[in-house]
Amino acid sequence: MSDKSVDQSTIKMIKKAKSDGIETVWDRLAAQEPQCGFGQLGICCRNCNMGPCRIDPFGDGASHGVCGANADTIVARNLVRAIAAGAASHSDHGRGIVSTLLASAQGHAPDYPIKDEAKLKALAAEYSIAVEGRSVKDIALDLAGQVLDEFGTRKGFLQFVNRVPEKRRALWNSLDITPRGIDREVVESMHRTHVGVDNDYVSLILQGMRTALSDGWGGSAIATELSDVLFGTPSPVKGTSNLGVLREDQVNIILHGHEPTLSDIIVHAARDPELLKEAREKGAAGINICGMCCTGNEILMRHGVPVAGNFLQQELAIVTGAVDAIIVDIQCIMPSLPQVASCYHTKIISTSPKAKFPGAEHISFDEHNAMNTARKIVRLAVENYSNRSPEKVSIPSDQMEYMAGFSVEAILEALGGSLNPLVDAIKSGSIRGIVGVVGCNNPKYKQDYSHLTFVRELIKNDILVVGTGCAAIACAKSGLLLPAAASEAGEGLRSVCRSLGIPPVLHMGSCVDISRIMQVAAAVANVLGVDISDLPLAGAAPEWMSEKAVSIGTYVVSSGIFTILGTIPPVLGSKNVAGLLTSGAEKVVGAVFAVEEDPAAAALLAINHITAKRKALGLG
Amino acid sequence: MKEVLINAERCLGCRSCEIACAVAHSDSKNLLGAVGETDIPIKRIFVHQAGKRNIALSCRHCEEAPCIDACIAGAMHRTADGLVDNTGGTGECSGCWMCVMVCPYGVIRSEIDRRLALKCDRKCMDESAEPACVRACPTRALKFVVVDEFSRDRRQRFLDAIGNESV
Amino acid sequence: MHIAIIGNSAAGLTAARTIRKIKPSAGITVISDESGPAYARCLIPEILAGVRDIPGIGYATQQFYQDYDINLRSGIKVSSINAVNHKLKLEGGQVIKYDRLLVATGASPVQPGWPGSDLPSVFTLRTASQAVMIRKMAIDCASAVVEGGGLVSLKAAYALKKRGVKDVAVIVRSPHILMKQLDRDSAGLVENDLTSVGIKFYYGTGLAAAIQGPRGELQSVELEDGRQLPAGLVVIGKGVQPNSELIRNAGGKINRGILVNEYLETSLPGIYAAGDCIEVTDSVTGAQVVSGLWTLAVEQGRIAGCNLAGQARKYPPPLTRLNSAQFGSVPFVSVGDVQGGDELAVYQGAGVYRKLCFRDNRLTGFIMAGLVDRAGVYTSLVKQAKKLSAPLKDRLINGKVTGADILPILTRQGGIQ
Repeated sequence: MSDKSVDQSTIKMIKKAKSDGIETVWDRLAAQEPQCGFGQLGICCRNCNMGPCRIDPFGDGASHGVCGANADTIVARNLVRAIAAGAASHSDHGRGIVSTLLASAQGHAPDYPIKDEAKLKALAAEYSIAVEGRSVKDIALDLAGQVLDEFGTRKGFLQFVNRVPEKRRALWNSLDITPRGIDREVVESMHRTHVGVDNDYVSLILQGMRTALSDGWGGSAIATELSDVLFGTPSPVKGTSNLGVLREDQVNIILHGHEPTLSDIIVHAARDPELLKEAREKGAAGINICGMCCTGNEILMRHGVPVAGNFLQQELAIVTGAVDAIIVDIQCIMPSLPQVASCYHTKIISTSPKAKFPGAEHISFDEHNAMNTARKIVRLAVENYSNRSPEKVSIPSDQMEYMAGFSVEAILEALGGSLNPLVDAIKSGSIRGIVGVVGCNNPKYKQDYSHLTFVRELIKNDILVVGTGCAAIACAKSGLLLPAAASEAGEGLRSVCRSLGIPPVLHMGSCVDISRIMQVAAAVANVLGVDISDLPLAGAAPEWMSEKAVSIGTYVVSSGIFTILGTIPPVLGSKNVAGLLTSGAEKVVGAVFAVEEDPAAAALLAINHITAKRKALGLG
Repeated sequence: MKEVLINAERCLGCRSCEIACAVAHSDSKNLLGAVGETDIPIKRIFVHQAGKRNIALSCRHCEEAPCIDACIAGAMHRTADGLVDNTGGTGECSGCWMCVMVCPYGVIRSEIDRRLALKCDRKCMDESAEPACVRACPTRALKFVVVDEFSRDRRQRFLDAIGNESV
Repeated sequence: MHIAIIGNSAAGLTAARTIRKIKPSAGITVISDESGPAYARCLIPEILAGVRDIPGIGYATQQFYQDYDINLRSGIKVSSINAVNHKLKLEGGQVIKYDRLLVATGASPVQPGWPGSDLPSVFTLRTASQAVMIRKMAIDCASAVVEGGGLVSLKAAYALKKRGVKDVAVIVRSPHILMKQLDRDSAGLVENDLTSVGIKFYYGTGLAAAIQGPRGELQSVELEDGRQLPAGLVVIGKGVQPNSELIRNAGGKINRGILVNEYLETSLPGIYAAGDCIEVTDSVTGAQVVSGLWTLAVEQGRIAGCNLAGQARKYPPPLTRLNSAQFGSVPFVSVGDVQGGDELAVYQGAGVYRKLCFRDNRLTGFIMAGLVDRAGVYTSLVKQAKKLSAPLKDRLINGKVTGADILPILTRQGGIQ
């Protein structure tokens, strides 16, 4: 069991699942093993109906697909399609947020007032929208319109590309990979990977980079920025994490998925005195709203809502027997949830028209009538409380406090309003560099082990860690998001953390909020007058699994940041593609991918990279 | 003695067994290492299409193996475990291809440059005591079992049925 | 029960092994005029080439005879069989009594008759000891002539070249090499393989005489067409003839080889014969032939062994043409009747040749050169002599056939698990 997780609550709940006869992600992984070698190497292609085709990795059979595509073409096409899917997911999430902003500005979404007017105005200024003397509603209307246009813009490039350092912009232009429109790049990637279009792996990978950049500097950035406008820009906040946040005597509702739109309202609905009264009538002491995955991250960043766990704990939350409802929206929600829930009393309620789950109850979320929908959903959970079987309830005691909410604005505030103290700390070497640690859980690897081992090595070596997504939740559960964790950091980082009262690992939000990390990187590069690729930075996705992660990794590398993948991407079937990604790209975009499954060795790669970058900058 | 039993009805033709076989005969013993090896690992199982069905074929380790009779070098022999193998016997394979010429299943490979006949040698077992191809089969079309007479009859009837389609 | 076996090669040894498995208590004596344990006769060219020594081509170890409790009398010739009294007389006078006897005396090379063919530097190549002698002589030899275009001759020529003999010439009476196994085109591929290492071919002629030097040593040879070729040694490969004298002298029936019934029993009750010394009926052509194939000798040894041990087993007419080899880089296989047939299908690609011969929609023979993988599937179809469906025939012709295509007919055979 201990090969499955370092998290005791996970281990306990896997045990309970077993005795309850519940099949979990680990059982399904075992049933899938051994997994298909062609798939692992990325050399199968289903892009047309002359296929499916696969290339013999040992040169013993077919070396070309029916159309004539070789391993390079097939691997590159598959990779680009994964990037397109990932970029599409982040960007469509972003589109949802802009639509809500638009509805709010049009007066159709009364439950969504603008929470951060300052940010609204700052963004409007970026888009050259007049602010002076105009109403918040009018500004929001213009901004929402202009941001929506980014999806199909004809101006030739995305607005936020302007945030990128000059040198990098010039490089992108020379490579012709400046993203031209969010939808356009995804569409073009799908086009190019259609049978008989782009067959040159280099050309394909470059389009993959452009598509990823339309995510990192487009869709994801939009999701982050406009969520801040609508729901408030996060600032440091405290809360608790892990399955121990569930309450035996309360109605437990888990908000799971990725969007803040409904979840933010539900957080408010659960405070409704009427619903609280109903809960008490059912015998519950209250309503306990918890988050999970990136929906969890969105509401913990803004409200300090308890987070029940990360990706691999979604089924296990149900196994506690204490969850009355799981409200899901989009992305990373296991289709198995209704199946697991059917063995307990838990209701699975899907809410997005884009994501339905056989076996779940669907209550379509409507931003025009958000609070009512939210109340309806909470009421369902409250009513379900009495269906709990006490004999099936077992909540692991494991929980840990966290400090989160480190938006770029919050970091600036902590630094006294300017990046200079951070830049100075980097220059002096008390902070040797910054590494973004992001991404998923993957049942093929021990849950959280890679995240935590990697992060601990880094902070020990005076490297500030910024995290998002499931990686950040892993850190939360192990106490690394507490200022006290500075004691695990090296002397330099420890003193910086102590003087600022911050943890050595800064939680910056959900996976679209990796765009926040990119803003910091760009801003630091601009302060120093260098390219992002010159900075002592690295990215890592130690336990990644999703296509979104492929897109993220690619836009991080394309933005000039060395990125370490802790799980092996399906590209090894082409030596050329693997070579381009792990070494050739250095000469193209000034950064490469590294693949390292051992987190300690991966940390060493990051440390060495940062040392080299510092040296090149003339820093010790 | 256990045999690799083939159920063509379940074979999807994914060739996972072929990959697993090659990997089990590589130096690194893992896929990602094996694809980088200079001496390319060689599979000894072959997924074929017969009529509309797929069948993964490897050495059946025949009771009266024509390849043993045919081997002019005394290399092809029956091991103490009852397997048919051309390594570790009295003689050394000289690459004369007599075994290739007489194997009715066509599952002995001729490595012309190395002058070496290669075949299923079951040097692919792990602690589960199942051959790599069997472990790799996602649909359990390959099974490693003791086959009794009854099952043989059933298999024969099944094969007859395929025969009517393909031969 | 005491079973005597004359001959310690493929048939004799396999029979001994089979008998021991069936009858643990039987006494088994194997008598051979060659010394030492059994060796792989087909590999003696490797001794000649210097790549292996005699133990290196061992087919059975000394330990094997102990483990199987076989009394091996090697280096002793049997001079006569008394079929009535069940006695063998050895050279030197010793008498061995037997209950049952297997004659697996093999075959001997056809000896040349031209002037000088009795010189010490003129060899046939049948035994390991001959190979050792040729190898020794080849060390100081700049030129060698090989007579015959069959497998043994060509293997010898290739081995001599490998051994370092500078000029190796092969004299072939026929229009191309390997007449029995290949056609002109496939023979051409194999010939190229041999000429590429420097072997020269002379067609349409034979050896006429040896020309000796001042000290009586072999200096060159004269061909029938009058040409002379330098030759420090000569290897003759003009085929073999069955060693059937013992049976003939004991009163048994022989034709070209020893005649046996379907249980491999000779006309003398209790005396069986197997291997290169017997005559069999070819399953494809129906002709009476002496095959001289190692693989058939093993097969017959096993069947004879069963019968000797009291387990009656019939020996169906075998496929007597089964050859495969590779000299340099071109492997080739020839099975069945590759000359006859009412329909041919030939495929020629870069360095690859395949010819299929059909008769009445049955595969009767085939040649593969350059690529031999899955040849056994074709061989099996020749053995089965089954009428071919159109799709199967297509797959055969275009080289796509696999074991999977013929699984149903295979499992109806005996011996398949």
